[in-house]
Amino acid sequence: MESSKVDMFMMQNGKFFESHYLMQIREDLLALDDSKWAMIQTLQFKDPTIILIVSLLVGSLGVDRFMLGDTGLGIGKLLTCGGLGIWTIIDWFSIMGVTREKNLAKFHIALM
Amino acid sequence: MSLGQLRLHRILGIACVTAYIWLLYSYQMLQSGQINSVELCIFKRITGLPCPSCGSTRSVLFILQGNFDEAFSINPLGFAIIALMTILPIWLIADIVGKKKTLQYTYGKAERILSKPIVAIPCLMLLGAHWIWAIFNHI
Repeated sequence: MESSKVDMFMMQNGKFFESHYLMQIREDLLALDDSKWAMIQTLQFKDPTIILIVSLLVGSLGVDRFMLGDTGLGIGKLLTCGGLGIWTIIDWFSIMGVTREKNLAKFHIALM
Repeated sequence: MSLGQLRLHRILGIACVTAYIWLLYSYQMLQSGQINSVELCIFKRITGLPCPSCGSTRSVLFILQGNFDEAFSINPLGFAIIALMTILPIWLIADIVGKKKTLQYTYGKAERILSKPIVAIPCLMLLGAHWIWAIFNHI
């Protein structure tokens, strides 16, 4: 794919991924066929900041996990008052990383 | 998105052990006649309102004493929790010993079924109804 398109994608979506994966993503996109550009561009990624806000506000009800598509973990969090409150606090710090990992997984699925 | 097998086993293992320790602690507090003053629910401490799962410890303790009516009125989720606490450890150990993947498979399947709007919406409405009831009755 043309590097100008790839750079545009990176500028738009760079914040949704872990920084150490960015180079890999760039190389993957450069090696990608041009016909997949339209599909890649329409991918919707979850914003780590939004998920963090949700986690801070209603994390003890598991809403952040539900939003990420982890229904099972969400129910686990909901049924246990946010893992006795401990899991909620752990998630305040880890949920942004988890979101970025999920975004990467989604990107990889789209590439295949 | 489904969890990896090792992660699922680890999370369930930790959850089961913590649940039993917490239950034992609460039971001891109950036996010695003290009121369990440790209130871990962040939601309840911040807002003063109970969260949908507040009272499930008390509910489980009532079930263990055979007082099902009281348990149901405090939190019906206690029945689900006690079922999970009985089944999951056995299933987990059976899966690890037998090197099978039945638990992970069932988890993935349950997750898919529960994500469907036709199942999820009634469940959430039931939970919401229980929550409103709990708030008005100061559980």
